[in-house]
Amino acid sequence: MKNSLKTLRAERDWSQATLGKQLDVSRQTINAIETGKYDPSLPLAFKIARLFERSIEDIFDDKALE
Amino acid sequence: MTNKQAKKRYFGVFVPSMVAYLTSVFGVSMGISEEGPATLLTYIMALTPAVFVFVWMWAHARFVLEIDEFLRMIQIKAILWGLIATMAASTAWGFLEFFTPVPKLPIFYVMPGFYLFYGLAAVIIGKRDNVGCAML
Repeated sequence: MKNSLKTLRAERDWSQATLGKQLDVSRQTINAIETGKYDPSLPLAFKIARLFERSIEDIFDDKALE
Repeated sequence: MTNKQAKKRYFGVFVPSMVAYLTSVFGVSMGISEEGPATLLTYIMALTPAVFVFVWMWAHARFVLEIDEFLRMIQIKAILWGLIATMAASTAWGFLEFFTPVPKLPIFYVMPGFYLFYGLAAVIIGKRDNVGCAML
């Protein structure tokens, strides 16, 4: 699934490791989400949305799945 | 729980259980006499090393459940492929044993075979998904 996680992270000048630490996941997990290799669980998607103060739909684009 | 803490908890059980396993294998092989009838004590002694392997497997399962969701998915995929390869290899070898004169392998080798296939799968999947060696 496409997402804007990389852009949001870059806007805050956070590394993947920094973001991972805030979300209690590994740097590898952040990398896999950013590159679209892994779609996060709903609880993790909510956590990401809360952290960036956006809605899940703002960050994740599921249009490609329709 | 962070992945680092999960790994630390895993090795906290893995190292002592492997030391106990090796010690018990040595002790049992020295203590059990192959001559004479097997007693209840013989059976209990023979099963002792397996107890430490179960402890190690429990620690592995706990590790998989404690790491983050993406790394857990990789581990579960590796375990799945490890199981499939082990079942396929043991079934194929079983048929060879039924119908050809190949040597009969002790069932003991199923467990190390699984860990070999699981390890290979973890390395391949880890490399594909850019997480390095995903075994541990």
